[in-house]
Amino acid sequence: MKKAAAILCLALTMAFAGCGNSDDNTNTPDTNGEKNSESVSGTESEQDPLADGVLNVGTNAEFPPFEFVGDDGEPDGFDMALIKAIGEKMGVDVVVENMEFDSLVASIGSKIDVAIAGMTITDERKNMVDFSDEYYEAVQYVIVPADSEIASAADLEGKNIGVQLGTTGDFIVEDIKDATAAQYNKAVDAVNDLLNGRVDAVIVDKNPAQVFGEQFKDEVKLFDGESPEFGFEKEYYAIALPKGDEELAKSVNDALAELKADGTFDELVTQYIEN
Amino acid sequence: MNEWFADVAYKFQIAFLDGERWKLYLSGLGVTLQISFFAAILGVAIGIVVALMKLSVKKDGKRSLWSVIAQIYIDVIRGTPSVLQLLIMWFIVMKGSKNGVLVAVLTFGINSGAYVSEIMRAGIQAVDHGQMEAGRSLGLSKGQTMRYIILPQAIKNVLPPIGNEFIVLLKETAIVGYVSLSDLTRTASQVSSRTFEAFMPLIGAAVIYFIIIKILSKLIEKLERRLRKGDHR
Amino acid sequence: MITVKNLHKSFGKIEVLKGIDYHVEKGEKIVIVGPSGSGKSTFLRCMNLLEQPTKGEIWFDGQLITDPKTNINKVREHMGMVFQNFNLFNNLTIMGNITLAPVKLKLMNQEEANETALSLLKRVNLTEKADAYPSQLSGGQRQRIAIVRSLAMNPKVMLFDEPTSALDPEMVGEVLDVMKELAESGMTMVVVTHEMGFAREVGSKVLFVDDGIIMEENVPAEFFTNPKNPRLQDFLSKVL
Repeated sequence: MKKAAAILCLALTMAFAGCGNSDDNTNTPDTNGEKNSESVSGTESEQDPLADGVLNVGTNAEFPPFEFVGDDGEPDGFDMALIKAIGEKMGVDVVVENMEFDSLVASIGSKIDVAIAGMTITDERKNMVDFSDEYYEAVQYVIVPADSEIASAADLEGKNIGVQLGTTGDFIVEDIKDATAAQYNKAVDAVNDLLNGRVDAVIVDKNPAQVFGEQFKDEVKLFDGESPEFGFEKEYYAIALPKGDEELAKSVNDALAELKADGTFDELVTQYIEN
Repeated sequence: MNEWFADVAYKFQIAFLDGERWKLYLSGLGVTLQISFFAAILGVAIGIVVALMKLSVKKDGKRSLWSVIAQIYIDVIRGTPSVLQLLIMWFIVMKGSKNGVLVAVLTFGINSGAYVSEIMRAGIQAVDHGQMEAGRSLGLSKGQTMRYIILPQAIKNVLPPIGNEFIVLLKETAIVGYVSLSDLTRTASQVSSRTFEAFMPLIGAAVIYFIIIKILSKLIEKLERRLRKGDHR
Repeated sequence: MITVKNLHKSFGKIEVLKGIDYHVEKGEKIVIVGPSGSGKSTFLRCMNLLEQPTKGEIWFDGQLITDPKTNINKVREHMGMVFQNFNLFNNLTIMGNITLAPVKLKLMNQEEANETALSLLKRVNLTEKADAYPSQLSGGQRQRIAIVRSLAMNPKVMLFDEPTSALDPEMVGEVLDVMKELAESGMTMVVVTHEMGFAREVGSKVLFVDDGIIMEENVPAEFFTNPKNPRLQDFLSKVL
């Protein structure tokens, strides 16, 4: 057993050492430590992420209509179209990486430059990343079986609630008294288990909720989370950016503003969301 | 260097201490162990039955129907990814069950049974044929000889590969997060989805798996030594 | 006690036994000799159906045991068998080896079986090995235990399939001594062996089996001193 412990120690030391080295390389031009002491290795970069002319974008293509895997196997959807348009304005190639939602934020600065994934601006996330200007209002919907008696936030107390791991819905459930979150990789799995009777309700963003509501018209009903009965706080989608990279933030925001001004943004909304 | 230690300490703080998150890992470990333990028992039970089925022959020495059924079961289980088996059990076969751990136990028990049965079959075949003849010559039935003579020796033969199968099984359960069960691996994801910091939760979960499996293999080794007692060759 | 009628046995296309008829009387000690591959072991193993005859009848104690309706397990309780390779149960102690069958077949309770085992072990001078495992015993000791294991079932006949062939030469004697003692006690025995001395001394009849049939049968004195069949003459000239 002693030997095992020694090996374990060695392995851990090596793991830490590896991490430390990478820190030394990538940390950190801004040294005003108090404010940023919470920052995590790799979220800040001395180098311009766009130096190679490529914007690496992370998403989680399980969130229609914002992002989903298209018929060609590539991520498609409103967010994808938007980030490509932004890339065009910025004069860079956009390369999309499809990954788990809950690992997006942690990957910014290492695997990816930015993330666009119907991601809500939250204080927790702001500790780790910066956000672009908001581009869409996020409304959470509550999906319940058609015959359910759940009709208000109070009814959700003590219930088993399906969510996608790490999404806004997941965080909302944390604040509901005695409720437990059943955390799925995909929202559609949560809805399936709602139909199977394993969860009492599902909380997801409005647009995917409406897609599911359409699909399972006879079996489920939807509630708007912003309605007085539920009273979830208003939240907004934005693009997650490396912390402290003001130059990148500015060019993204400028591009976004231009797209809104020239009508491209509204066209995309019509094409992907309202259609 | 100081900064680096402060950073590690901070990551440790948010990954394990804040909000008493260490309790999450413990309950995740509980789920992992619960599923693994009962699935292992079920797997061994299925494995022995299926091995005997596969070895059964008709009077004329040809393969029995039981043997064919056993072979199909083994082929299907070994020929499909376990994560698909889990999803099929969860969303189709047992979609009415609210006991998620039970669904997982059955999935992994049925899965492990296929591998255990092949191990058991090899173990039974490795027992000298004379042992069966001696048992039968004394008037014991085939089943009695199997139970009292062949299987005890076969199990001793297969203990190392069975122990290996238990370890594989325990790690295989890490996919139950797919269907919203909060096992140890899923706990790591849950924590990092809150802290946006993946290093500590992942390393922490890995270390816990490592320790559990180290303990498990020590126990198996001990059992093996005890069973070898009558075996000074 | 045992009657064999027109016994044939084939393994695949190879016919090993080509029609054997024989009758063993109660108390007889039949010794079967013959070159290897002659079918003598197969003949013996057919008597308790460890080999299923292809054709023919075996009667034991007035019962047709080749009849599929016969419960062969019940029949075997009364026919002890000793193997060339001992085949002691490796997972059980000597005590366990001897008492397993009587207890599991509900002929005795564990206590009675233990008593029987101990008195049998005393008979072969191996009492101190009661709690040992087979792997801790010498070949000769194992074979004596194997004989005792069969005797614990209180059989009506004992079949021996080359019981000394796997033994080191210095251990052959101790096993033969046990067999001789058993013969003196009046046990009916059928013995396949290469031990011509044993055949001469103990056998009430000696059979020469070759090419799947009984080529010659005689009392030992005649068998060894006055062989008629040229094949037997040839065989004896090689082994004596």
